[in-house]
Amino acid sequence: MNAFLFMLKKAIRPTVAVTVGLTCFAVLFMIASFKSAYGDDKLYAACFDSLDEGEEGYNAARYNSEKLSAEDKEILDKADRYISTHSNGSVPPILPNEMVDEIFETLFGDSETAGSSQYQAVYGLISKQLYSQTFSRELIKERTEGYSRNIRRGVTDEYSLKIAELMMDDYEKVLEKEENHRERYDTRYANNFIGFISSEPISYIGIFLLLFSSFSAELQSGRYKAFKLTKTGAVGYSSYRIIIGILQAAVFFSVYFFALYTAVILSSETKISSMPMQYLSGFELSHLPINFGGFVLRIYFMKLSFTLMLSAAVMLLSMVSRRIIPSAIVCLIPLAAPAALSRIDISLNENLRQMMTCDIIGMNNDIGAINIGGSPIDVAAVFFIAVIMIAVCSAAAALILSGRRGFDA
Amino acid sequence: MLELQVKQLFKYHIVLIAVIIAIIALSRVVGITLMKNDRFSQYMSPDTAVEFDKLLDSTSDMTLEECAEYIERKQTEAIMNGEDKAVTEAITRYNTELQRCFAVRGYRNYSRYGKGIVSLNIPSDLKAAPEKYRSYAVPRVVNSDAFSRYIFLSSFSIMPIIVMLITAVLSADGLEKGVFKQTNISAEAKAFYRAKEIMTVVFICIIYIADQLSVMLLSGVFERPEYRTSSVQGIVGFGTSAFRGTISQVIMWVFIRGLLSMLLCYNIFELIAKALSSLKKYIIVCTSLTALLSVSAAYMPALSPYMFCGITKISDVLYDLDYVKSLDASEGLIVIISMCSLLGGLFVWRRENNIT
Repeated sequence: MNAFLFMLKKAIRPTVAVTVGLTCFAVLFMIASFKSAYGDDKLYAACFDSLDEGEEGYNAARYNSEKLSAEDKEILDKADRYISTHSNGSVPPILPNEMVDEIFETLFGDSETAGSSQYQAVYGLISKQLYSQTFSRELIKERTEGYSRNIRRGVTDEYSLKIAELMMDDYEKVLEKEENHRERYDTRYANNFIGFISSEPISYIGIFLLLFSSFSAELQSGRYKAFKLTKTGAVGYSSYRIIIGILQAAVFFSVYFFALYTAVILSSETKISSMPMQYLSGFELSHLPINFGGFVLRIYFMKLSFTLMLSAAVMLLSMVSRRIIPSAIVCLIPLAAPAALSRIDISLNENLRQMMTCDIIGMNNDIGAINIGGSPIDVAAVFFIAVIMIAVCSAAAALILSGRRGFDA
Repeated sequence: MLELQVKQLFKYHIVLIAVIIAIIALSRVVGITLMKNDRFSQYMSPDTAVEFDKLLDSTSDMTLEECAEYIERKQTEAIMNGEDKAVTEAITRYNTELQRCFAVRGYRNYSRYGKGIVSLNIPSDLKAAPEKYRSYAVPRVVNSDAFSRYIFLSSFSIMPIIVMLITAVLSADGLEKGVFKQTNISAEAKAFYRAKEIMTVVFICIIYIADQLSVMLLSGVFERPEYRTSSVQGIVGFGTSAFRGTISQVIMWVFIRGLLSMLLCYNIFELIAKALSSLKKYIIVCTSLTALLSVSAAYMPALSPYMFCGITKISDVLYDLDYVKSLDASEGLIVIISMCSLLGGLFVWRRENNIT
């Protein structure tokens, strides 16, 4: 136990350094990149506040966006007609200056007022957000009606019936939840947070920095030889190291994740944590009867389990590669694999692809069930069990190897 | 002494050379595979490319108006003779590229004479920064596929990681083991360090040149002599670029920026290795630096041109360079100047402090 506590104490400093450094960096960059993507925040707030609640608000945003687009189209069509009628074969004519000035003023505005292109971007963004909040109920109702129709038509496939039953129950709860939330939310930060957390590489960098040398440094320096002579032994030392490595990864990821979430909550003006998760863009048809806060907790556990699996894999590779430089190269492979797999177009079962790349959006934005033995099982549960099993196997393999290294190091 | 260093490199670090070659080869294979499997490929088919090149040859010494007249005649002939798909595709592509050239000439004329816009795509800063467009050269129609392939393949270059690996093996490992302490007491120490420095810098340059040459050869930019005279504004996506030069000059700029970046990386990594004297800490610090700079460039592309030690997408670096009014030049000039001053400063400082 003393050895364990000693090792734990030694691991605190690097964990704190990596966690604080990467978390500060991630929070700053996430907020800065969100801000730069939104453009003029004041213009957005003014447009958003000017709209009514409910469907009228969505319709007004869409109407404004389409009206501006029609105005732009009108002037551009006029210019296009001029080009078509005055062109000399393939040589385009020079547009009159009045027409150019008119295009400029309409599209880009002047130094004091925003042009239609900026307003269009803002209203487009608002209508995209409000679409989920306005039509999620209708979309879910349509889908449940489709399920009931299929059942009435006599679908006999047992799995289809089971999934229909499960979904009807879930959707009923979702509808109940949505009934209680008539408030309008600014979901820009929430949407971007989900997008950011599903593809961010910073947590993988943290795992690499903390664990790539967990065994290779000891093996290269020859300290490992000394461990087998101690009371704890090589296997005991390795098991402590694996437990501490997993703890380091868990602490790092938890602090990192919740710091990002806190930054998002503080940046959003509305209380987004209590809104139904179906209000997020692209999640209108999700069957999960939870609010955004609950959804964040769900993805936290999914990402945490994936992180722990990667930590175990990195420690195993650190043990296998024996030396620091090779382990630095080899340990990058499991960390880069999810990103590489998500970009390569390979023919894989969709659920399997989502699990291998930790695609939290794909696993949660729709029905999200896998057919196992004729029963629909929540994809997140399958994912959780699979990654924990891989993590345990990797840790066990590292332990078995450590027994051998203990003798031949 | 230099000969000895080179011999040692090939004798003791042959695995390092093999690993580097394998990494470069792998990155090229991945790049080519992804390029071939791209569903939304904009590249011309080989037959269309042949026909397109014929059109380019026929119009090489014509003005834009003459080109327009020629292509119109060709279009009519193709319809009347019922030419095959490759010919019609080549004519359509040529016409599209030609319209872009007219549009760019329009921006130039508008900024110079206050009139001349011929297309609906008007840059938003045309009135605010007319200086940017004033000195544009009139672009010519070119086959831009090779340049697009060059940009795509360049995005798979992981040279900062390779430089980190080279410095780890040639310096950080030895510093941790205290090998250089023995050298310090030798009378030949100065010559040894000088030779080691020259050998490492030359080795990095050779690896970088090999990496870039492989990209250039595979993309086919060497087979396009017209790139030496055609303005970059004739390429899709570069119509309003702040760069004012030929396509070859842009490729050269990318090459020089990359080379200076690698030498900067080497200097910074060498300093880190010396300061820490621990291979593990060296890898942690250098990986953090490279990773954080790469992530910054990925999330905020506007910062890409300045992320010298990060893995950046060349397309982001090129597209995000802005126009600098006071210099009447593209930001690219500032990038190169800042890199040269940083690099010079680092070399001088390391030399004065006998850092190696």
